[in-house]
Amino acid sequence: MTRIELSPAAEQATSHDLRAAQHQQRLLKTELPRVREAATAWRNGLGALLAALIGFGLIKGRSDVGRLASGWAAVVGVILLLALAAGAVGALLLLRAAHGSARATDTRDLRSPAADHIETLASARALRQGRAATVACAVFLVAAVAATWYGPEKADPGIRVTGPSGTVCGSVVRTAGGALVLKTDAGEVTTDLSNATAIQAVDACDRT
Amino acid sequence: LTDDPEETPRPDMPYKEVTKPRYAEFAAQEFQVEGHGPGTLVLRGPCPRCGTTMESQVVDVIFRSPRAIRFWRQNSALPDQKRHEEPMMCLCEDPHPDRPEGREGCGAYWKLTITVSPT
Repeated sequence: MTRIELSPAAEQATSHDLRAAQHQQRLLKTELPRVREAATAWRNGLGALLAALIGFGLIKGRSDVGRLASGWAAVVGVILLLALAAGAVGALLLLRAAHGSARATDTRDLRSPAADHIETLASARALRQGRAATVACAVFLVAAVAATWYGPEKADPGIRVTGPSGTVCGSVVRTAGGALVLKTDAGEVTTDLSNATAIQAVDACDRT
Repeated sequence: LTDDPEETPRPDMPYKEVTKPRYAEFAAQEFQVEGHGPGTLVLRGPCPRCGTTMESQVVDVIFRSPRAIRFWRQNSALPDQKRHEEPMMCLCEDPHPDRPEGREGCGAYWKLTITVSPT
């Protein structure tokens, strides 16, 4: 609990104090429209930024998360989920700041002459938080696009052929005259299928 | 406030930007203070000049994009007390004659010290 006491100031008011009081009253009367205007501008600006980012992500580079190695695909999925959550929270907060709360106002609150000032402070807080959440959404989106572009590609399914000279695993390039040409890490390898003792389809060749 | 008939508070007094020491003394005695959330006070009472009931907000910040302006300054030497000097003016809505466009009240102004201390 606090006690608030009023007393005459040590020095008498001057015309400068009157101008300061008038200026403060003008600012107080116009601060709610000002915060709404600022929030609308931020909402439009950040919306355009996000739209540009999404457009940029579609210009070039790998666009299919399914082509990523499984671990990276999971990471990209989590980042996209975070981007979605941050974007939704940011959009709601910016809309709250620009247009006010959707809740009905208690009539007791409206009796306060400071109701507009309190709403201004709440809107300014929502604007700051919404701005931070939207920027976080943009960062997550950039991270997701970067990981999708530059993450390692999922290995292609391959054929493992076991013969007298050992085992060869790779993706099929072509077959000709009973020979199978496989693309391996070491380059193209030709195996004679007539000597093969086992042929097995695999999801990915072991990189040993 | 005074025996002078011209200084007797009347709602129809012409607008005049004026201050007197007794305005602050009167306001300090007659005004009620209400807390309306953090950093927001409302002072309510009769104007020392025209006698009309008025309300004045005392706030610590005002939104003015891109930054809020801080009005409330902690300038007390005592760590558990907060003293603030607030310039005030009449904010009544009565139509005082000769009031210029864009101005409020009857023109009276004064300055109060607000002291906030723990009970």
